[in-house]
Amino acid sequence: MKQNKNTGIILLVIITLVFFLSGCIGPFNLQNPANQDEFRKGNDGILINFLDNAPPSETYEDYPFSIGLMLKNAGAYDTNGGIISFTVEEDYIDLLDNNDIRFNLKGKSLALPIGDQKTEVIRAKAKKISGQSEMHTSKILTSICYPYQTKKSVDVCIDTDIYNIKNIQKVCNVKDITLTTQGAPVAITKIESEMLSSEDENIVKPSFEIYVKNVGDGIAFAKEKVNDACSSAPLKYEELNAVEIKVMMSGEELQCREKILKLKENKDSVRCVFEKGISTEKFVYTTPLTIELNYGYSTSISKDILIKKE
Amino acid sequence: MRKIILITFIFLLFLSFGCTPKTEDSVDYRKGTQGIVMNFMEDMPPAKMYDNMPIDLVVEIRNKGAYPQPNPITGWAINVINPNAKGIGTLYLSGFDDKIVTGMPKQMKIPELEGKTSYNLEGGFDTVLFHGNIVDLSSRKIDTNYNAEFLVISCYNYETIAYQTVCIDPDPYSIKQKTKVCTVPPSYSLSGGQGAPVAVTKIEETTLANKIQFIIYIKNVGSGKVIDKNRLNIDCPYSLSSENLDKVYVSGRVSGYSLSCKPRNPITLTKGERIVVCTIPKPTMSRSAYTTPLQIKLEYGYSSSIQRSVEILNTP
Repeated sequence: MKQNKNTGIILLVIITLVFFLSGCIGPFNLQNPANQDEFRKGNDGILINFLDNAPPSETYEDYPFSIGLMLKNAGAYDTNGGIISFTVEEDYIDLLDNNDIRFNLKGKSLALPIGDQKTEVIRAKAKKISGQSEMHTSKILTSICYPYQTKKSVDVCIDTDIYNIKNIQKVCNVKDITLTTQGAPVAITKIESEMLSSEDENIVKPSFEIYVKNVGDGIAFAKEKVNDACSSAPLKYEELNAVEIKVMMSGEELQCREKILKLKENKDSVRCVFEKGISTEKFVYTTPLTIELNYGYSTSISKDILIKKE
Repeated sequence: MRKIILITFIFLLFLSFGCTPKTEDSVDYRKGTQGIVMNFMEDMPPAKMYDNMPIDLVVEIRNKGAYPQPNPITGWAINVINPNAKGIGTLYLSGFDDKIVTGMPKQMKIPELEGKTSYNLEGGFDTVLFHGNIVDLSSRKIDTNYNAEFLVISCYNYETIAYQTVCIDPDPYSIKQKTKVCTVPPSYSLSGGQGAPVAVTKIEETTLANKIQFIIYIKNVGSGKVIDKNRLNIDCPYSLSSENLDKVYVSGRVSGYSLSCKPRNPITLTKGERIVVCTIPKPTMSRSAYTTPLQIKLEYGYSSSIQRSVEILNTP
């Protein structure tokens, strides 16, 4: 009799547990998986830092030393074919290794949430200090030049009833979109949407004024000039602060007034129009607008090294 | 003891009579302010979906009103002008990018749905399936999520039938002392609707020199738009204007007469309301006051909408 009672209690406990557990496995509940947009935050591209004590703060003449760099892709885009360049006072320091180092670094992504990083070390040697001087402070300058990208997709409203004559419920309203940063040193800061009427009254032309800004602490330049930017080759005026823009709406490219933006005082804007137009027979809808910026970017760091006489 | 059991049995039998269902006449199915009511079936579609897969959108449709009836009342002054119209109306789907959600039908017929009757107090129910496919977002160079809006707009024909027992008194100001079966009240209030989104809310009766006048108050008591039923298939839902909005066709009968109403059909609701003045010839003075049902019929098109957002997730 007692055994039966115990069996009953155990059965009750099991049933209760099954009920509780079944509550944990709810209906089909799709969690938002991380997508590339999750990583498109911040205003950094490739970050560089000298390694500790490389170069050292002090050294003696005729002594070799190392210049070490830590490179980290803190942005959300891959870079291929970046260049590291070192500049030293040739009267005081000799670079013993090749001064033309290339790098590829993957950006932050699902597979690599913290971004790729690498170290580069080159050998250098302090030259003899000539004359009466007991010591000399020399500057070591390191620059990196790399191709980079900024990409952002936002849902925009396509309103085919510009003058509100259809008296219809609209799923969205045409409005301006303010953005912050997209995990890159050049950012899309604002999108002003407008629906333009056309000579053909059966279509409307979605138009977007896109604002772009250099939010990093480096210089943007034409993406093809990565090699020149970190060399003694001069850059033309039109190649400096030049950012290429490509705008797609629902997979089709928009026509932008200029394909290359010139960031005067670090910012510029451009109007892009879907010239093909959208039929007014279509109803108000939302669609993704994808903006892609391609450019070269360059940042520099420097460190003073005190060279003493032995 | 047997007597007690017998008495108890008889007593229970009497009580059980009170438990019998109400007769069909006592059930007022012409109540309420709704017509065709739509809602999305739960998780059809879900709030979040991956790209590159089929999508099903299921709209549940309930006829919460009292139109149509299995045996419609005939003999009205106004008849349906387009007798060839199939189905009660149409559902229109919009709000999303059809290059991303492809193959979705843009419109579907609303199935024939019986209105509420004394046998079916819930009204008709059916579902409409919109099936499509979500393309691979990456193939359209989209590497983030997309919020698709699904807006379903219904456009359908509907009718309101309002009944009110009125007192017809050909000589209400008679000084002769007569026993009357009824007197004309200041107004008849019709609250709660008549099982349709447009309702008769009040009727005022006046006996004039040679006619009986009824002032009929009409109101859009639903949450949608009233549309000219003759423009429904042409203008609804995308070309609505003052030309076709808020139009109602009014007709009625009382005491064997058809109502003669002003303004002429279709009347236009202003801010969702309107007064219509209808008359019938006055019966002979010799006739004493009597009660009779006043039947009012309103015909119109109606449109309402539902919306759901679906976040389409870019497959990593």
